[in-house]
Amino acid sequence: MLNSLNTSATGMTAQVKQTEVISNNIANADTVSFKRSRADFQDLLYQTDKGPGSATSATTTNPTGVQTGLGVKVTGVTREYKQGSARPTGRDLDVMIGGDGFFSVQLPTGEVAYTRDGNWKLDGEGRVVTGEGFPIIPEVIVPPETRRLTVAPDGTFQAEITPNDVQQLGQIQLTTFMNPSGLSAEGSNLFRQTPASGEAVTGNPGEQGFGRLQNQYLEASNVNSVAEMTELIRAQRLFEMNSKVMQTSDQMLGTLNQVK
Amino acid sequence: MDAGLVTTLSGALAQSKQVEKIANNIANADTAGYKADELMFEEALQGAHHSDLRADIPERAFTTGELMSRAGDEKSVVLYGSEFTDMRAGAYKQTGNSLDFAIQGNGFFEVGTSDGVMLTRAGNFVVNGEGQLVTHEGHLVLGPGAAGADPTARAINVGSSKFNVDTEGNIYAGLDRGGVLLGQFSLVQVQDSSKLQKAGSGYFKALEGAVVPQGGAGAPARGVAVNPEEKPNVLGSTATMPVVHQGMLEASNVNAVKEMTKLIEAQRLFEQNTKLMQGFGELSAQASELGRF
Repeated sequence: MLNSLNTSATGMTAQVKQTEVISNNIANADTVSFKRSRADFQDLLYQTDKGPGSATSATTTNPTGVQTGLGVKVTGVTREYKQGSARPTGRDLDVMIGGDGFFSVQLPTGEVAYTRDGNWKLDGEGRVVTGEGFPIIPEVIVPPETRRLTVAPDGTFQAEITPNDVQQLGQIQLTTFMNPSGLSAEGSNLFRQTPASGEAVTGNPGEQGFGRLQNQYLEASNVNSVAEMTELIRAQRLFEMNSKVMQTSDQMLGTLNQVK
Repeated sequence: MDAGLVTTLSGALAQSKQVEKIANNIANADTAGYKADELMFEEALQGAHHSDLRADIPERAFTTGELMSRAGDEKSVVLYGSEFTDMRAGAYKQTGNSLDFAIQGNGFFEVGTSDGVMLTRAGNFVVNGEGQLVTHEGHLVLGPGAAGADPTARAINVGSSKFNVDTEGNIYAGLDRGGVLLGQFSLVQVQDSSKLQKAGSGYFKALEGAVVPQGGAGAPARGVAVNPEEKPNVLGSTATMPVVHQGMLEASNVNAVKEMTKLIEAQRLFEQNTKLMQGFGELSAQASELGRF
């Protein structure tokens, strides 16, 4: 049978994956702190019909040989940690990271998750929590009589109760990873540490290697919709091209069947 | 078997091989650093028939008919003798990702795998948990070093994705130009691209004589001058130094229009060969009818 049937099938599968990745990027184009992903491809193993250097006569050898590739594979979906643009919100509990780092979040299971989404809320006890209700680490409790909250670029959380009574509530810390692309995405803008991401390094915002915080701003997603649409067109056309090869291979087998 | 049948069969086989090649090229039209393959056909005469002919030379004067006959020609077959990989650069695509690299000019990154050192043009690297620069397969991207040296000793330790790379492949800490030197890409220049064997995953295995001999003990082959006219079939000339671009990727060099045209051509040639096969089949069927009454 023709290998090209399988080869074009791998090409179609790869473009389906590409489309899935693009559709997730576009779906999250308005998600706070979302980082776009891209699918990376590599060629599959080669089948050697005739090795380079095989004998063509007693004294000569084939200089190149014939190797037929068997298609393409998806090797990874890489998250691109490019900074998203700053979106002013004017809300006290919106915090954006300008630069590197993640906020730490306490999950109900006792585990720690990481996020760049600084769109915080207060729960019934005055704790600062994420949109899902998970408390941030270190825990910050806002007194009920607070009139205004501020987060300084270095992470200091302050509550203004009266103009003369400003309380320090704690300092937000940031965590960086050797390889943030190796973090496992858990949904809800949360990431989890993996062996591939490397050890978590915690520090104060503004220190060497850590981003600074910006209060009353949110980080927009870094999805460029024009680029995504272009990629989508590419993916669709390449899918079609692969299916055309498959169709051609099928027609050739059909032709062959008519010989007898 | 009828000689004509053999010839058409070989033609049909060659065209089906061609379609397999095209299928792989199109499947990899979006693979960074991929280089398109092309199949070259050659006509071959079957030696066996020639020796038969020579053995059967009658010990008498040739008749006119025998002299006019071009015996052996009809026994020619087509072989997919060799292929070549189009080593021209693909389009350069700006990605903005600091871990993407593209090489302009004749040059390859070196990668340490369990099957030895491989070359690649696909510069979409990642940083592993230990802070080393690796490919998506997890293989170490290598810095300069002696050819036989332990690949782990040639690993490029970047620590994090916060580094910048100059056009010569030197890697510096921090995002601003310059800074503390962290390492260097080992860039290898190829002098005979026909001696590169594809190994999958975007890797090429360098057979003997493929790369420009390294100057000194494993120093990168930058600036080694070779007369470019001697080896036209390489990425640019070996006389010029490869240039590394950070934040860019070299796209696949598959030309979709060309591949689709080749596909149509291969399909039609395949059809013609099978049509001829059918014709030969009918001929021999008619021949077997001849003796009957």
